[in-house]
Amino acid sequence: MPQTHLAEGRNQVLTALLEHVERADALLVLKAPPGSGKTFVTTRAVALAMHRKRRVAVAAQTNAQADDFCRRMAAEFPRIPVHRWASAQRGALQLGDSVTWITRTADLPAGPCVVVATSAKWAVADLDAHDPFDVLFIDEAWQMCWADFMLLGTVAPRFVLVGDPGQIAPVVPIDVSRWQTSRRPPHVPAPEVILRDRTLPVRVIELPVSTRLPHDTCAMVQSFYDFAFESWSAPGERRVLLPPAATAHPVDDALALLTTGSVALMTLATPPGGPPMEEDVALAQAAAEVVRRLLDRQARVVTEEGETTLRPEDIGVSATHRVMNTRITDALGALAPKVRVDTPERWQGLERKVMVAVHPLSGVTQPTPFDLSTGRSA
Amino acid sequence: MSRHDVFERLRAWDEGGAIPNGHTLPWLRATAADRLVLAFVRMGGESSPWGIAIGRPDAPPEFFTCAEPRNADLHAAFVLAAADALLRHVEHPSLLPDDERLMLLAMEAPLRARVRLRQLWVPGPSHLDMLHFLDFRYTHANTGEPKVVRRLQAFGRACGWLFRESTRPGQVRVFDATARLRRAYTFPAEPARQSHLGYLLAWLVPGRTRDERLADAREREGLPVSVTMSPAYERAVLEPLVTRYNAARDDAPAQAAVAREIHDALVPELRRRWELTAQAMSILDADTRESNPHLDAVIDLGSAECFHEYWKNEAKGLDPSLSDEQRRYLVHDPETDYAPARAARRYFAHLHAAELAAGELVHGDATLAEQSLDAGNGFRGTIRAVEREAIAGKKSGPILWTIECSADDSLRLREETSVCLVGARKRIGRIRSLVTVGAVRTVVLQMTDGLTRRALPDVPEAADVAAHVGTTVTFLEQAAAGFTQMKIFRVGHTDGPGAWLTHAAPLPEPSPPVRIQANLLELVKSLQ
Amino acid sequence: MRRDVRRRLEQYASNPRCEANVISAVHDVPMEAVARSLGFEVAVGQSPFALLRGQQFERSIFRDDAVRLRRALITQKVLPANAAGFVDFRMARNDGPYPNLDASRAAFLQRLGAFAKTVGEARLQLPTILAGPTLMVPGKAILPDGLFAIDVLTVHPQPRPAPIVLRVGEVKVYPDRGGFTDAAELSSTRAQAGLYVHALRVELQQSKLAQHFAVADDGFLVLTRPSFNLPSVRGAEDLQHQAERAAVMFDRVLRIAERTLPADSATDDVPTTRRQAVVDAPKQYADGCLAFCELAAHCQQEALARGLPAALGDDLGRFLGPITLHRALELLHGAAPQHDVERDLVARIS
Repeated sequence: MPQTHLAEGRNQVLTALLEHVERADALLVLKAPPGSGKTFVTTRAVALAMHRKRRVAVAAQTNAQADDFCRRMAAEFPRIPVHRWASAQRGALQLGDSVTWITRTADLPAGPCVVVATSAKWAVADLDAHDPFDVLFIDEAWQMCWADFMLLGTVAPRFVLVGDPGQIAPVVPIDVSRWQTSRRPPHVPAPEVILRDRTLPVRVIELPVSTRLPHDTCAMVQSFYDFAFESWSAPGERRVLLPPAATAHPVDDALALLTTGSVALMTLATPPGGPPMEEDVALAQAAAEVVRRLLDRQARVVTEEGETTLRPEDIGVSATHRVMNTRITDALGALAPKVRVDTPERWQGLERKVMVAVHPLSGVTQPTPFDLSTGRSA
Repeated sequence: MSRHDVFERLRAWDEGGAIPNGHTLPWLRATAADRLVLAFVRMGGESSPWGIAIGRPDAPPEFFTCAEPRNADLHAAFVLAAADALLRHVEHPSLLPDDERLMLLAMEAPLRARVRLRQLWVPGPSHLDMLHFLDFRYTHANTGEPKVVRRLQAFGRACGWLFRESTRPGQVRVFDATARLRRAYTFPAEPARQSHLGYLLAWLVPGRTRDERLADAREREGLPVSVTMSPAYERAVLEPLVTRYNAARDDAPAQAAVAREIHDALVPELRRRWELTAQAMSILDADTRESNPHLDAVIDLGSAECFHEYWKNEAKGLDPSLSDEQRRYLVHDPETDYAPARAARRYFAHLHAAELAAGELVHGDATLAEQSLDAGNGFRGTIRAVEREAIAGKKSGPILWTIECSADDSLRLREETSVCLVGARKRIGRIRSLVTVGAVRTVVLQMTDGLTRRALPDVPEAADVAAHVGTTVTFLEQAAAGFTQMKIFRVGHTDGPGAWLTHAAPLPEPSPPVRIQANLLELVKSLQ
Repeated sequence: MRRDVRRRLEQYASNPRCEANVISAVHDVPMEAVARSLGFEVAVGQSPFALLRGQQFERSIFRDDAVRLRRALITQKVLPANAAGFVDFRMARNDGPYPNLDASRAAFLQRLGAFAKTVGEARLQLPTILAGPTLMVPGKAILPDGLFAIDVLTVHPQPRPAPIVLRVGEVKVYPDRGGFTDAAELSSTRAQAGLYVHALRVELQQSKLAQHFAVADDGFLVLTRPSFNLPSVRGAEDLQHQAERAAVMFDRVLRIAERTLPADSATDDVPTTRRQAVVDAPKQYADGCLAFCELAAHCQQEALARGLPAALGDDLGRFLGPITLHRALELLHGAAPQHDVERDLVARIS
């Protein structure tokens, strides 16, 4: 049975967020582990702010995220009008009956409203001719560096930053050592900079439940977070059922672990002289073999929703190098179009019933400065 | 290190020597008058120089040394003697007549033209670090004759700016000779060995076999080129001299004689480092490859940086009416950019520089374009269809190009990414869709810029003509340099309603107390 | 025999895949002696000026009851503003009171035992800086029973029954240049500090003091301010990962140490039999060898002669896998591939 008693914890967090909106306090950071209902609580807070006749700005980090947010608002609060402010070069999308697509600054509504745009759009917008917004919600805030956040100071006086602190920080293509010791390092995720400054009037709340991650996965990733959260599913509730195999296969021992838990680790012996560069064909074939074997054995997946047969579309594969992903796609052969293969940063926020992850340090035989150089943590 | 780089190293081993990397060089050759070669040595364990070799490449260098670098007064005097050459090179405003300085400050362009091609060459990264140490030591110097202190501070600031400039992506002002050689050539040696300038130069000697070059490289590797000297040399030669020098503190003539001996012992070490640098420069100058034809924007950015990040502040700092506080504001801290707005501005400036260099130079060098493709930053394929999208109610819809590529190539780009045509970088499209079926990846591009011949004089056909069908094209991700540049200016806006958080403006008035409704969850549910 | 094993552990960690290096480090057969015996020229020693600077810096921060260091630690919030007290466990050659490492260790353990017994106000007023305490390498993994000195420990007493927290500090003479500080130097300094965190935990366990003390996962680095002889402290350095890595390393060393070698002699000379064990052991050249091993140049030449691709870089070794340089060049010039691995390489380079 799902751990329904945990719903109370999530409601308490939602209440705290709503009270913050109600009081119109200045700054709140909401920490949300994967699949913890971040969008669920944010849409409710936005709806309440609009109900209180506020001008609400919402910043997403990509156009796809902004579009998704609008769809969720339209589906859950169809009576609340939402404006999707996008680039003129993008073709208008139908995001729901309550969503209006606008491309010009002049089209920004007056009075109470909800306007959703990307952070980049807000960053360069000239809002002088408009009424100021009352509050700015920033979705996926851990994907936004402090320097980019600084550009949003022109939007609103109050901020709600929502995101997953365990997510991969934005990739910065330049050497940032110069700013490692800055008071507010421009390359560091904005919420981290805010939380380091003890002088700021910030309230921090944490969503306590992940509906996405199974019980033992929650335990495994917990060390990447500075707050505790639990899985919606009880121990052993999510697993893979494997009918008896007609013939033995090298990956079967690893797959057998999935019948009792959600994590199976499989290792390949590192060839003499270290692992191959960038693309490791043997590793790619092993990853593809796991996918193929799961499907060949007609694995069934048990979740809180019931039991279903695993389809190729239910499986994802992730490796850090693009060339490695290409090799995995090659190795998947006819399955390739249905099994998504992508880098970890592109998997963020997405779900599959089974994920095959090629560990980025696979085959590393000697630690490098990269492995050892954890930086100043304060 | 990419797969391409590793494979090139294997080729270099096969060739038995260094082989060219790229079709062009990403910097311009400058005249000797625009160039300064600088090399340091330091005493083991110390972080300031013990000796400096400095000079234009067409004349013998000047050597400056200090008998006892741990003595602050002696060190300051030695640095002061060496300071002028560097300050002249960076056109320090204190060396200019007042009227000329004020004119340059007001007009900007003449100063930028003057410093446009100025280059400082050093043997390797440890010599760049020495500039940073001099920044730490002298930018905030505060004891001594005011005139001397001002000169030392100016020298510290010049070193600091040159060090910071050396870290700006794509810059062509401060040249680490070792890094530039490695950029221009591929060497048949493991990366750790390639940090020795002498070792690299041995692989570039013409007319030798691989074994001869390898033997020469190993021999040269025995002579240090970083700022640190061999411990054996320090122990056998320098330590006894320094001991004698300190012992003779009550005998000025004897001390002066030992100081000369120390100078004579340091000069060969300095000379070797300086000459290796000048040699590297000559080899690069003699290379038959042209400079990248798209360098102008990169060099212009460099001269703008010189003016705004260094020269302007130096010139303003000479205004006698400035208070100490105002003058302090013009000086950068050696450690970092402490002020958040300044840190963010420089961060965006570096991002902009990286995007500009990558975005421009890739169009002037086929190798760079290939490397970018290898990294998944674009795609190459054959145009299969050119059509206008039919949109109800509109006379003509956007132009769509359908391009077929190999699905085997790695591709980092996704829908909505803007890409530009290699060879005609103003022809830009946005990826509408990416579909892979079997071995074929089909990309549909919506062409957004550079659609007509007039817009693109180097392309014979407008974007919507069918003649493109069947041609092979390469598209690379369009650098967002302009967008980042806009951020540099906007991040300075300190007057927004949220500036209390983003720019440390005063905190806003707290909102008036609100009575919280008992059940907000129910209220929100009612809004659904 | 070098009883201070810090360098040997670093040597081991620098290339654990090379058997010759492992035997040299674990069984204390200096590679320098091996290189000399093979007739190679060996560049010896550190700069005399750098050595002196290091000693002077360390003396300066511990002088006058470590007043300079304490000030810097308080500024960086490693110690509270009212922190006081200093105990010196350094050896006489470093200006401390103890004649050797054994005496330093005995005094340190005795003092810890006394700390553990304190209660009330006395416990809260324990000395906060301990200089140069000596530890024994856990499990006597490095032969023979190795001892080494931690640079500095800070003591953070708490009322009983909470354990007294010990925090490891590592002193280095290189300059702290903020974000520009040499990343490789920082990595290796953190790795050393992590090693001490692990070793201290094991030492406390072995000495049955573990219930009274907790070794913090974070530590601090004491560097110099550029161009000045003043300390620059970096606090809150997360050493957890490095400590875990050290634990794994010790475990491996323990297993290697089981291999027996001829006994060492009482003099400083390394017996031929021991040197020969290193000479005979298989060697595996890697990029990093150049930075620490006296045999590096020799091994690289040998690897080149054998056509081992790692001789031109670890990454080339990974690129070619089992294919030799000679064969790779043949394939580059059009030779027909003989098996799958060669066919794969040809596909990648064509």
